[in-house]
Amino acid sequence: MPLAVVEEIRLELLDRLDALEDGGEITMASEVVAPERFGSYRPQDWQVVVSQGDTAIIDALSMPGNPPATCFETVFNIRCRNMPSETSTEERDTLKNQFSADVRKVVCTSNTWYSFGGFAIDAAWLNHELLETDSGQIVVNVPLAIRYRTNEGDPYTVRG
Amino acid sequence: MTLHDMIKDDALTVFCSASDFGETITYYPRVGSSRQIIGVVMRDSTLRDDAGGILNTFEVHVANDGTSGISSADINLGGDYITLPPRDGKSPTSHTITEILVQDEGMLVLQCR
Repeated sequence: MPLAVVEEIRLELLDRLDALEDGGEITMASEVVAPERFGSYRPQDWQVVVSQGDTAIIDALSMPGNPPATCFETVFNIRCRNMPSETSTEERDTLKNQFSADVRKVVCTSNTWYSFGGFAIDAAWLNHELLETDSGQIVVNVPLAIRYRTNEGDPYTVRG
Repeated sequence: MTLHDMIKDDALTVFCSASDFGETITYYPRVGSSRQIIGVVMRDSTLRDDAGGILNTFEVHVANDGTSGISSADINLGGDYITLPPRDGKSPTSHTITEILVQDEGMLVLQCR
């Protein structure tokens, strides 16, 4: 079954983030989660939760023609959660800095990392957001905006 | 028997009685082995995550006891979790202990997600 271009990009992003579970970077993620409707996951230390945010049409990068190509920008929210042991002496900022740095590193795998396997035309990191919770979990959102083009009436067909 | 002893005893035999409202749940400390305990579970709460997903939260009442319940001295809000059925009749799922809502000599009220 063919996948929409944005779904191809999402799966490629998840695949790259899965490298954090392998322990190749400093961070050894406990799990990388793409939530279902009923969030079948529980908060854990060193957990990555990826969810798709808003999608906007970028008129300036859309192209006329027959068929025309529409450029979209979709934001993916990559939430990095730390909930260290009560006996941990690691500084909170150290955890945040390490986790967000390793997330960026595993996503930016090469000089053409922004193309996500040829499905995207550009990608840019957005401002980090600190989402500390009432229960003291440390959550940093590292949003990634990815731009891609498809045929105007066929979001399954990528356009360069 | 002191008042302190009576409060602890009541927590175990009255409030957490499996013959009444208590049920068997499994406690997994961040470090160490799991064990079965009795708790009273309130299942009527849900939250929405930032992406609109539904997250069940539970309020779990357990004895403040290191054997039959969970000791307030031992609990670790950095990774301890429990397993319990999210609804009556369903299989147990894992839920992190995220907060201690209330604590006294006899009981702990825990928020789990």
